Amino acid sequence: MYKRKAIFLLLISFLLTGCWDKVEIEDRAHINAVGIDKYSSSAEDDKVADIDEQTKEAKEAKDTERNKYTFTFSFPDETKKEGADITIATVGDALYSVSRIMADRTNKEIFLGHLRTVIIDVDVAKDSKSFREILDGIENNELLSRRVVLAMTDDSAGDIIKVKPTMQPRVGQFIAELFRRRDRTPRAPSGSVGDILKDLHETGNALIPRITAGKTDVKVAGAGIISDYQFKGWLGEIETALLMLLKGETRILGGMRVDYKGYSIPIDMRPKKPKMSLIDDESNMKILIEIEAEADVKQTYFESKEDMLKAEVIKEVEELANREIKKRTEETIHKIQKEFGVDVIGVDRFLRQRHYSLWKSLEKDWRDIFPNIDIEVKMDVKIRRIGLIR
Amino acid sequence: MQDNNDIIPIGQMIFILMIAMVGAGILTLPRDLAEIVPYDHWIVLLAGGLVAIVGALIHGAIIRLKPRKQYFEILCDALTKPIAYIVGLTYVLYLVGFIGLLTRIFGEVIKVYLLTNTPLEVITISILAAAIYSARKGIEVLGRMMQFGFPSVVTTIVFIFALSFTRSDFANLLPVFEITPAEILKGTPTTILSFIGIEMILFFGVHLEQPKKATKAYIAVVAILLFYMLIVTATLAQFGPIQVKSLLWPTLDLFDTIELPGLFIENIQVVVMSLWVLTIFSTTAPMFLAATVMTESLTGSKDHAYLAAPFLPLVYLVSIIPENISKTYEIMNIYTRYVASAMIFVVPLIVLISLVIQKKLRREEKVNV
Repeated sequence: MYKRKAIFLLLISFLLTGCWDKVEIEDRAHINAVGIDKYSSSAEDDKVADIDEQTKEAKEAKDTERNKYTFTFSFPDETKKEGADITIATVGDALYSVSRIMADRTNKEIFLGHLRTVIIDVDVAKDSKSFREILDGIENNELLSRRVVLAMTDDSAGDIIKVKPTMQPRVGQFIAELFRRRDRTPRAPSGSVGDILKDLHETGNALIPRITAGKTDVKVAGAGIISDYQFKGWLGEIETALLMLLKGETRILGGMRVDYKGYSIPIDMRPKKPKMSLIDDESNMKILIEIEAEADVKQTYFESKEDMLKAEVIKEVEELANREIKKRTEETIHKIQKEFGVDVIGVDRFLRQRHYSLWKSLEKDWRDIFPNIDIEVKMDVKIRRIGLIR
Repeated sequence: MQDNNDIIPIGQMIFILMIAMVGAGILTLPRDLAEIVPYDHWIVLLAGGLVAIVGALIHGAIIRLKPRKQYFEILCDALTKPIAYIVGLTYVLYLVGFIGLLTRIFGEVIKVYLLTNTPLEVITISILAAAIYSARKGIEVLGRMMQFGFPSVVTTIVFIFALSFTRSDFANLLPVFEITPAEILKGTPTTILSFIGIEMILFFGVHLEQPKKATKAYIAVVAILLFYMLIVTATLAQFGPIQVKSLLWPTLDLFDTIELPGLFIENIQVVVMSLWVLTIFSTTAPMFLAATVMTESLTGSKDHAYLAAPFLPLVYLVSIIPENISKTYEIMNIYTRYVASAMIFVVPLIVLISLVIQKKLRREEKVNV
C-alpha cells in the first residue's frame, strides 16, 4: 500500500510539469508599451522624459557604460478600474536585463508577452551599434511577437509612452491599433517589427514609421530611413505615401488632389500592386514601375460648369491626375536616390528575385549603382465613379 | 474482429510512419534548406523526398520478401547470425541515440517557449515516460492512437499555416529554376533528417495484416513531402530566404506572425506548442517500441513490455550529453548525415540485395533438381 502511494505521488509530480512556471496574473506587470531613449546624464536635457513616477534609479543614474538607455515601460494598473496605466522609467543597457533588474524594485514580474508597441528615440537609431543591440533584443526575445509595432520618434520616446490618449487609455494598444486600421492612409509604413527585421536582414535598409506626440494623442506619419542599420533621415508624410504606392504596400490612397481649371478636386485612389520591370539600356540600367489605379472623384464644385458625366472631362481629370502623381513620385524617387542613396524602393529585391544572374554581378556595388539608375514611373489612373452630382 | 492480436492494417501503419517522420526536422527544415541554397529550396526538398520514397520502397520490398518475420530474423537470413547481432545492436543504439537527441531538442524548445522555470530533466522525463508507457502497450494501441490523432493534428496545422498565408509575399520564393544539379546533390542529405522514421516499417512489418501491401509505405513519404512543401513554402514566403537563415526555429517564428481575424486568441503559439508535444510524442513512441522489439529479438525474450522501461535512463543519458543547443544540433547533423543514412538506406539495401540473390539461388537450385 505504501509503495503504491509513493508511485502515485511520483507520477503526480510528472503530471504537474509546468507548475514551476505558475504565476498569478495580478503578480505580473503586463507591459504594453516600451520607450527606448538614449540615456544622457544631464537632467536639464529636455530629451529626458519628464515622468512623475520617475524612479529613484532613473534620477540618480550615472552616465556609465552600463547606463546606455532609458527604458520607459507602461503597464495597466489593476487596482484601478478605469484602465489607468502606470508608467515607470529606468536605465540600463539592454531590454532583457532591465526587465530583470526591475524585479528588484517592483512587486510585479515584468512580462513582455503582451507588448504591443516599441518606440525608439531617433538618437538610438543614429548609432548603428546601439540600434542593432536594441533590434536583437527585440528579435531574440521569445516572448515578443513579430507583430509588435516599432516606431521611431524625434521627441523623446518616454514622452510618447507617457501620452494618455482619450480614445483608448492604453497607449501601447492605441498605437498598435493605429497601425492595424484598415482605412489607414499610407503616410507611414507598416510598423510591424517582423517586416522591418526582414528588410534589415536582407539589405540592411528599412523604413520605420515616425511617430510624434501630442497632448492626448499621437500622430503616425512619415518614415525614418535606415541604411546600413543606421538612421539616415526622415521622409515626409506625402513622400512616404508615394513610396508606399511605389512599393505596392497600400490599397488606398486618399487625399490626392487635382487642380482642374481652378478647382481643387479630391480623388480617392485604390492602386493595384505595381509592376516593376527592367529595361536594359546597354549603357544605363532602367527600371520601369507601372502603377494602375482606380479612382473616384469625391467632390467638384457647386454648380460647376464642367459636366463630370462627359467622357472627355473625365479623361482630362485622369490625365491631370496621372501627370500630377507621376511627377510627385518621381520627385520622391529622386530624393531617395540622390539625398539618401538608400534603396528603400525594393529594386534590389526585384532584381534578386527576377534577374538573379544580373543581380549577382551588381550585388557588391549596389550601394553605388542605385543612386545612378534610371527609374521611370508610369501612372494609369482610371476614374470609375464621380459621386452623386454630375 | 479479434482484440489484442498485434495485427494492424497498412492504413494505420501509414499513419504511424507519417507522424513518426514529422519530428524535430520540422523545426529547422526551412533554415537547413536556406543554408544550402539561396533559391529553389523546394527542388532540394523534392530530391530528398524522392530518395526517401526509394528508401520506403526498399523497406517495403524487404517485408514482402520475408512476410511475418521479425526484422532481426530477416537480418539473420540476409547477413548471417553474427553480423545480424551486430547490426541489430547498432539499430538499438541508433534508435536510443536518436530519441535522446530528439528529446533534448524537445526539452530546449519547450523550455524556451513554454516552461522557462521547469527543469529540463522534468520535461524530458515526462515525455519519455509517456512514450514508454505507450511502447509497453504494443503496436496495436499505437496504430489506433495515430489513426485517431493524426487527422486532427494535421487539420489544425494546415489550418494554422493557411492563416499565415494571408500576410506572406510569394515573391520571396523567386527566383526559380536557377539551381544546378550539383547543388541539389549537395543539399539532399540535409533533408534526410526530415524523413527519419520511415525505417519504422522494418520493425513493425511483422505486424502487418497484409505484408504484400508493405510497399504502400511510400504513400506516407509522399504525404509528408507535401506537408513539408507547405511548411517550407509558408515559412520562406513569410520571412524570405535570407532572414530564415538567421532564425533558430523558423517554423515556430512563423506562427508568431499570424494574426487571427478577430483576435480571439492572441498567441496562437500555445496551440502550436501543444500540437508539437503531440508530434514529438508520436515520433518517439514508435522509435521506443522499435528499440524494445529489437532488443526482444536480440535477447530472445518472450515479452517486450518489461524491456521498455530500462531504456529510459539510457535515452535520458544521451539527451543530457550535448553541452548546449548548438552542440546538440552539431551532433544531430553528423548523426543524420552518416548514422541515419546508413541505417535507413545502406543497411536495408544490402539486406534486400542479399535476399534477392538468395531467392534467385534457391530458384536455380530448384530448377537444377
